[in-house]
Order: sequence, then C-alpha cells, then structure tokens
Amino acid sequence: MTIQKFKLVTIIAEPILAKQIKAEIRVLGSSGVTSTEVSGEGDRNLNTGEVPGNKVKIECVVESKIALKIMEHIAEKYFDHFSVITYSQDIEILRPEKFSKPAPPGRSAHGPKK
Amino acid sequence: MMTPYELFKMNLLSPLVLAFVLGIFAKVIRSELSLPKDLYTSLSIYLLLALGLKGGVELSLTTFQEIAWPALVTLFLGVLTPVTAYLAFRKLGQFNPIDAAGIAAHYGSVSAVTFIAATQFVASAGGQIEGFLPTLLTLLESPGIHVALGIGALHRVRSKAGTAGQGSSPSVLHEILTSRSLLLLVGGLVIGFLIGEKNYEPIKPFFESGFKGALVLFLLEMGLVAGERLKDLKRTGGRIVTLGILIPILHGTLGVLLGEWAGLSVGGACVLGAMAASASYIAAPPAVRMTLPEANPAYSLTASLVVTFPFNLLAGIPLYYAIASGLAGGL
Repeated sequence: MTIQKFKLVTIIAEPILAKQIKAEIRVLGSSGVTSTEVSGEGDRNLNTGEVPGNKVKIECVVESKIALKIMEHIAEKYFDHFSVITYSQDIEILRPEKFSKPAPPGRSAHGPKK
Repeated sequence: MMTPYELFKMNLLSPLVLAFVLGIFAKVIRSELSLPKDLYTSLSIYLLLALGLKGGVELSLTTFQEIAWPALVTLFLGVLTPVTAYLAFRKLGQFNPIDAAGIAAHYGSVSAVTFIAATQFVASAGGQIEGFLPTLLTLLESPGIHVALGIGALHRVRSKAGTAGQGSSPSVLHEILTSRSLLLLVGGLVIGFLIGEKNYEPIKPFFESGFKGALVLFLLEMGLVAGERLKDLKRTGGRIVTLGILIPILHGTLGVLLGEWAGLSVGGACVLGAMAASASYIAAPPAVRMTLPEANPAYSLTASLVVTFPFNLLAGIPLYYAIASGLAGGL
C-alpha cells in the first residue's frame, strides 16, 4: 500500500459562488470536488444569502502545484468583492493515481478568467 | 366601506401579521426557534405553485381585452420603479452609484409573499380581485432587475472604475428565468391555464385548503429571517430605514393610480400597488451579487427584508387599499 503526500485545498464561500468555483477547480486540474453546506461568519460579516450565515465549503485533493494554482485563482477572482477564504493542508492519501488524472475533456462550461 | 383606521386594525390582527411578529419576537428574545430549511423550501414551493395554478385557471377565463391594459401598466411599472428607486437612493440617500443600482434592482422586482399577503388582505376587507393578477406578478418579476443592473453597468463603463462583473448578461438572464420562484409561478400558470377549471377541481382541495395555514408558517419564518437581520440595521443606518419606507409609499401610490387608470377594481389596484411597492429578496439578490459584486449586499437585503417587507405587511397594504378605495369613491 503506497501512501503519498497530497494537498487538501479548502474554499469557504458564499453559496451563490458554489457552482462556478466547483467548475473552475475542475478546469484547473482537480480530478474531483466535494462540497458541504456550512454556516459561519467572518470579518466582512456580509449576510448575503436568503439564510444569514449560510456558506458553502468546497474541498479538493490535488498535487501541490495545482493547489497553488487554485488558491491563486480564487484570490485573484474573488477576494476583492466576495466573502471567500481558502487554505490548504498537507494530507496523506491512498490511490494517488485517482487524484492525478486530468479533468475529463469538455467538462467545463465556465473557464477560469485570467 | 371600512375607514382607514378599521383597515389598519384589521390588518394588524390578521394571523399573517401576528405570525410575522412572533418570528421577530423569537429572535429579539434570542430564542432557539428556527424552521428547518427544507420545510421553508417546501412551503415556498407549495405556495408559489398553488398561486400559479389558481392564477392559470383564472387566466383561462380571462379575455385579452381585460388583461391588456393592466399588463402594459405592470410592465411600465417594472421599468419605472428601478429608476425612481435608483434616483432616490443616489440623490436623497447619497449612496454610491453601484450600491444605489444594487438596491434599485431589488425595488424594481417584486416580492411574491407581499403579493399573497395583499390578496389575503383584500379578501378579508371584502374586496374582489381580478383572477389574472398572478400573471401580472410574473411580468413584474424580471424587467426591473435588468433595468437596474443596466444602470449599474452603464455607470461602471462611464467611470471606467473596477473590472467587469463576474456574470455576463445571458447568464444573469438564465439565473432569473430559471430561478425557483419564477419557474414555479410560470409553470403553475401554464398548467392551470391548460387544465382549466374542470381538471383543477380534483387538486383544488390540496392547493387551496392548506394555503392560508402554510402562509402563516411561512410568515413565521419571514419574521425569523427579518429578526435575525435586525442587527444589520445599526450598521446600515437611518438612510435605509427612511428610504425603505418612503419608496414603497411612492411606488405603491403609483401602482394604485395606474392600476385604477387601467381599469382594475379597488382590490386589484391595491394588490398592484403592493406589488410595485414590494422589494424582491429572492430573484434580485443573486443577480445583483453576480453582476455588481462591488455593491454591498447588506444594504439591499436590509432594505428589502428588514424595512420594506415589514412596512408593507404592517402598514403599506392597508394604506394602498385605503388610497384605492378613496380614489374609486371620489370618482
């Protein structure tokens, strides 16, 4: 059994951004994505949705260079005007080949903006 | 005919208003009460579909001549109200253009709950409502949002400040047209129109007998949501409160005047006034958030949910009814 070091990238964002961010993560090279509804508040304290405090937590397991790409993209596109945070952690995984595959072609409707 | 005082008193003692007040009270005393999110979603699906179905059945009994003028007047209101709201928040409220446009999009669109509350009020006041009003509701939902977003985009191009928004127009249009509320309303209207009175009969008990009770629960949830956001009032300031009350009075009066001019009954004109006076809190927020991300959503949501919706529910609707019956009586 091979254990390999990978990155877990987490993005916590306004629910309205969920669909878009998930699509962008796939385009940037993540083979999968998991999202959960969460609640909380940060320094902006923007109650943006129908339900105050509702947020979405998006996670993906990627190699470290893709992790950096994803985080840079999130920072550049969303940090100015949206309630978004992102961070990464070192994790150990099994089946590394499962997470190294490029996203299947033609999956993306919204390409990431430069 | 009831005096304005009697109308206000009757309104304040209606189950809808009292349930809403209970919701706010629960938040004020920091109760743990909350409705499960799935129940809230289910209730809104039930209410919107029931509204659409009944409206569709009534629409199948309406002639084109009856609805033509009211529909034109409604579209006119949809284009006018975002402009007046923008000017008021920009000039009187001194908000920056992008924030003003964001708020104006909410006032240009419509709140379905306010519409339903107005129809219930008219019914308890003994008035009649034209059956095609739910159709007008769908007409008013989206034009105002586009007009206001257009104002915002225009300003951004002119000032060359900031980058382009996240969403392009087609995606915003898609977002609005496929939103839960509009899909259920329009879908219900089409189904009701197609099945007609006879085939509506079997499903009528489910969609009509539970309607008012479901509405009471929904208003309780609205009270909880508004109560939760009460603290935002402190941060957004008095301008939001003042304009959040003045704008619905202005738009409501305009709606009543144009409604009666277009030949609507007292009840119909009151409901049209309430529609024009109301501010969206479901269709507009995501569209504004994606198109004008610089606009502070705390302003628009506080204005529509914490100020304008309660104002319309507590005082606005009886006011529009009093204006409508005053006008009709004076003619």
